[in-house]
Amino acid sequence: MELKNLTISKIRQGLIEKKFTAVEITNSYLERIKKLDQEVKAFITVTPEVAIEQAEKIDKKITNGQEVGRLAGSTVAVKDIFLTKGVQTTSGSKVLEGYIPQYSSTVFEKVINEDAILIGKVNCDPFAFGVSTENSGYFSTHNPWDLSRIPGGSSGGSAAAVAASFSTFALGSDTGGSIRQPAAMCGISGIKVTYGRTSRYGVTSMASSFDSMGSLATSVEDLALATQTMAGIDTHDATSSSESVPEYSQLLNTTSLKGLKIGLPKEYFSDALNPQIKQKVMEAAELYEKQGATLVDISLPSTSLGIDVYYILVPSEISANMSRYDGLRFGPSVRNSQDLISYYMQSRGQFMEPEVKRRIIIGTYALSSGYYDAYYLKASKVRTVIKQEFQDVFQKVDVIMAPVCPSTAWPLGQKVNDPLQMYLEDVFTVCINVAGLPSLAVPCGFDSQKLPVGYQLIGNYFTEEKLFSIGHQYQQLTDFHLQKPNL
Amino acid sequence: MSSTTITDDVISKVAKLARVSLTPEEVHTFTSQLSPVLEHIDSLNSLNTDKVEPTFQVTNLKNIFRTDEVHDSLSQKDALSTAHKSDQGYVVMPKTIDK
Repeated sequence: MELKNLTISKIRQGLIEKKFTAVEITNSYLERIKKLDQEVKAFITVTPEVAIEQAEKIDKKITNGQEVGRLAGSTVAVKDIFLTKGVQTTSGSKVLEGYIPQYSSTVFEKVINEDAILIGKVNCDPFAFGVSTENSGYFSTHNPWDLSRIPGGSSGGSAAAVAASFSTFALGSDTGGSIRQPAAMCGISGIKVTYGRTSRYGVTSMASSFDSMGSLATSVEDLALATQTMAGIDTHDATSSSESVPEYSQLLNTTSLKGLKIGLPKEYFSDALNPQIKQKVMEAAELYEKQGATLVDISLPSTSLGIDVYYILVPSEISANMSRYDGLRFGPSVRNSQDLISYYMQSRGQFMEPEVKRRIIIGTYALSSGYYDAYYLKASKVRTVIKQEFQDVFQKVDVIMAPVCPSTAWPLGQKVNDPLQMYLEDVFTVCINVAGLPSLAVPCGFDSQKLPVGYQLIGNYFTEEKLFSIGHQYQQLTDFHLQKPNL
Repeated sequence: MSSTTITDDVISKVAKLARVSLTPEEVHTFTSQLSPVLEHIDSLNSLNTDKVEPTFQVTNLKNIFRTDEVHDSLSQKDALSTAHKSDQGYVVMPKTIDK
């Protein structure tokens, strides 16, 4: 079966018309993973038994003439920070090797309830700390477009799995760019929703006031279908929003491009940006202009401070969240410790990856006595300024358009010893998380080395339907999202 | 916050506070890696925020309340299934206090 052109809606339609069965689709994906994942290394755990069992259930529904779910027959590759009942969940860290959760995350449960099929758990930076998936405690994932390069991160396994046609769509999380950046580097689409639009329950916490659960897929239409399934209030997550969830997939043509005001922030098109990326993003902007949109020059003056705010507040929240990990109730730990303190220190010291320890140390330092005002409080104030600058701009424009990353996928290993250089790669994505806004990443071409380039559409709070509509209309006019690597 | 000096001693002290044991090599690596990170962060001082309120929550949520009712949750057996050692319904842990 040709998997490269399958989308969520095509699969559901094909099942209903009995062109193929869910078991056939699942087996095709499993065969492709078996044949090619040794090169890509997207999966930490492949779940053939779970997948076939779910596929058989869906096929039975079809045979019995029962209604099938919105995502029926589509496979989902799940970032390994989402708890999946009965299936190992490592968070990309040796700290949780062998951990079998007793319950599932809300958003995962929701996609399975709509008849999606879990195909496996995919690699990521440990607890989502990273931008290249190289911090994983297991192995590095390779970019399907060039196996010598990173897939981006931290949802690198999710992006690589979709780009390599190992799965119809994938779940990821975005705390500072972790969905959009790998989506852009792997040439697929990805959505970071408004903070609180999706539940965080059952996902290992990184930074609780930033974390946002989303999806990655070939097309924006597929993201709309996945998002309307995943979004909504959850009594298990008090920060999830009670805003009603629109039927995003029914609204894909409702935002008119004619007269649409698209803001281009000058800070995102600075000298730090690779000129080839600038050119591709501008070509996409000009296509919108041709359809009747107006391009407006705007400024978000505090953009460059976003990284600094992010690398104070996020490690601070990380150190608070990770302090709850005791190695007693689950996870591997050292044996024969003399007392409780050395048990904690040795278990955490031995099993946590260097990046996990590095962020705990930065956060603990920033929150420690004497430094709180200078770091945490100061950064929280600059957070207000960044948020306000976006609000001011949304008085003038409907949506903001910008590149996702300053560079295309770089060679594996190139930046592993320089955390600051790694952190700076987040420059175009973090401010959106600092403000809690939604942002959609859309592929818009390739550089001279055939490496994918993407742009992002940033909207005001809870305007995902507008972003999907604008992104979808672009994909009706272009075919960059349909191009797949030759593996 | 300017003139941040990170030394091996500072890293060791913070690691102890954070309950993470580090090898001397790790202490040394983190010292050299974190100084430039904190220096970069010093650029926050370029913005005057004297009259700005901090943001801790971005979508203006206020306190969320729920009725205090008992709901089904994990069974004791399930809750203990991941602990590496348990006894009579409890997780076994190293001793906390010396006699």
